[in-house]
Amino acid sequence: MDLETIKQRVIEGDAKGTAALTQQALDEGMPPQSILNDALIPSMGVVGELFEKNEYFVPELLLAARAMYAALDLLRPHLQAGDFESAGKAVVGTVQGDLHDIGKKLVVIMLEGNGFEVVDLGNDVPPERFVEAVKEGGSQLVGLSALLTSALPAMEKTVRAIREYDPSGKVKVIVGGAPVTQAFADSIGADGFGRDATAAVTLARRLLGDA
Amino acid sequence: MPDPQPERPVRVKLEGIGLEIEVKPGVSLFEAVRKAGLAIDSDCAGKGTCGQCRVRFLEGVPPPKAEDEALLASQDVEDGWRLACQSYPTTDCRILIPQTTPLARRQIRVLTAAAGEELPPAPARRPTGVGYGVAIDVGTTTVVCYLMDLSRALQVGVASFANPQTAFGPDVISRITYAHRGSRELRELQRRLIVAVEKNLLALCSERNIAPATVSAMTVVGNMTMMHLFRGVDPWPLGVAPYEPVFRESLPLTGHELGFRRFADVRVQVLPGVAGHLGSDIVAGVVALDLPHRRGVSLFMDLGTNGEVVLCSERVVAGASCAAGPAFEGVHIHSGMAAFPGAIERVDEEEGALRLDTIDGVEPVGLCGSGLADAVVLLLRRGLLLLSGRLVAPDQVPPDVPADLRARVQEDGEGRRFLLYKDGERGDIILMQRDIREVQLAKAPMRAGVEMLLKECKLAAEEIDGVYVAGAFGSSIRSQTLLALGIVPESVRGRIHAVGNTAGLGARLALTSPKHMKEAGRLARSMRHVDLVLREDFRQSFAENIPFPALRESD
Repeated sequence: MDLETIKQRVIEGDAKGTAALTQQALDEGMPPQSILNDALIPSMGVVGELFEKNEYFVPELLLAARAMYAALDLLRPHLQAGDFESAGKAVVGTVQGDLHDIGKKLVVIMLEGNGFEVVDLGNDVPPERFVEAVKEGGSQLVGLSALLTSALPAMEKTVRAIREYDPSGKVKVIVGGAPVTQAFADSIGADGFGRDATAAVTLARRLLGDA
Repeated sequence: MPDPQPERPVRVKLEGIGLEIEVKPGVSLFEAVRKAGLAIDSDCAGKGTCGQCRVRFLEGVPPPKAEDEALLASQDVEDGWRLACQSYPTTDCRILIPQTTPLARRQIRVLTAAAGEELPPAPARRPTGVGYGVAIDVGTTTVVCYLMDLSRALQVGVASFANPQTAFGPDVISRITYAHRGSRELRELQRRLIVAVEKNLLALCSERNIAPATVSAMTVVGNMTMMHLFRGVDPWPLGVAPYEPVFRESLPLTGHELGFRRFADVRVQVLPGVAGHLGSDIVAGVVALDLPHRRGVSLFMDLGTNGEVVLCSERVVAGASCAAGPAFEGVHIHSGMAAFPGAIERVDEEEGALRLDTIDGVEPVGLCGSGLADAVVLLLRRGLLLLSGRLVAPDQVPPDVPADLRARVQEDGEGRRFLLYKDGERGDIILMQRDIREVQLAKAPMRAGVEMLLKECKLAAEEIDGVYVAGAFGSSIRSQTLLALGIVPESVRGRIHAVGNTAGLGARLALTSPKHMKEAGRLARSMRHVDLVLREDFRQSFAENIPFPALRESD
């Protein structure tokens, strides 16, 4: 089985095709870690580039993600610790008071598709919950999302709660969402601001690389 | 370094709005424009941190400041763009405000009439009251006041003006956020609105030679946030999950309680809302059209930054509200603007060339919602825009596209674009790839809202007998455009009606007829509120409706 073909199926958003080819590759004895590292992760990299160039939009990205997850579900039982080189651990959620999570979902997809281990806390997440999740999972990165201007104070509170837990600043906080700007991110002491899901990945890589 | 202070005030001409303002020494352009009753978009309220209040100097360009360099692209700074909040003009100048909200004194597009729906004939034998009454439609952007002769149920005057709260934010969420800062801010929002209403009512009365003391009743409709702010109730719960109002029922109040001076004894009835963001404007609209009593299935839509949809059948009435985003108000659109004179409101193809129609027929300044929608549909029709929402590259233009249109398809380092109007002075009017993405994000939730209501009511799109589109944008957009964008399902073709300001009509009916007032109360209690935000199927439908539907031959 040609890994390039699997990669193409993911980019095209063909979930059925991706799953069938992945199963075939496994049956042929292809190591699961090469399917993951040499087909799935690079395919989401390409999808990210297409999104950034405005060729792909939300639907194409969601379809590609569905294909990627279809393949991942097949690989998971075969993968062992060490097969997968994690790009880092992240906790992501929409802040308290805000129930909108399509934007956040895109960030989760792009982070996972680029090799991050992500805990998705969902939406309307209180500051304490973010802190707990960081404690439990040892994440180095927290991603905060908001769609409504009225949720910005909760974003600020969440950043403060994380800093109180980790005064050394080892845990990096990135923020995004329609009402969020670079200036706002700076004013609440976030480590970074991403305009969209692909920007979040670039930011995450840079911040964790610095750490 | 502070600017050298000029001795005298300078004159600033606001291009495209047709207004000249005076700016005193030491007053920022941002403050001066607000004082003139106009709002410049801003997230930081003039602190120089958000970069939203960018204006373009066409004449008298001041040297850039550190904030300009930090928050604006260097090309833009070179082109004369500056932050209004950091500008203290020292010479006369001419500026262009790209995204602003209408102000009262200017002729703006406001719907004061409901199209094709006249008030029912005056109930001659049973007068509903004596003296005069006022029906008020409080919109987020525009307020309309109707002065009615109660004994004849006859309209004697109408006044419309920009909601003065616009200076504190263009949409309901930013007003909610501002009101929540403290009781002073909340009071300020209420005061501004009441004062403006009172001023306009007094002017109406004096024009018609009516003594203000003879005004005895007032009905008020608005979205849930406006209902709260009119009454001076902190709307904060509407801004945070689960987005529910503090009150929704209709309460009898007096003018005095609301802060009216000359109308202190007027009985005021704020009409009831349903739940969530479904306010009394929607209730009034449905009552005005008498949808629950019509045969068959009707779909009522109010298209705006917050879109509302109501589905009515003989069995059930269900409504939903969804955040559609401000694209159709021209916000976040590269060449976008409100429906001012000079806004392109129609885009057509005529004998292979592009035809642009502007409001008042003057030279194009920018693109308003209906023009934006038209442009997108024209591009779809010509194959210059793929159904996915991707603009084609200049070398992918289909062979049958006429030369004039072909030349407008462009691409550079910033991406693909379509040139609508080339103009040396105010820059080009262009439709960028990312503008089309904004349109997709604004139209998809509306359609997804319709789909969710159909599902909740166990009805199919084919069963809809009539679609009633309310509001200013709803009246300016063509029905084939609604179909081509996919805002409404294909099966309703030929059954779409623009109905104008039905909220104002409902407010007048409730004022002059106890039957309609009662009906509003009944409907507000019985309408089922379908909460969209938490539904997984809504999210899925939203994503599915981001692409454009396949065009029909007749489009």
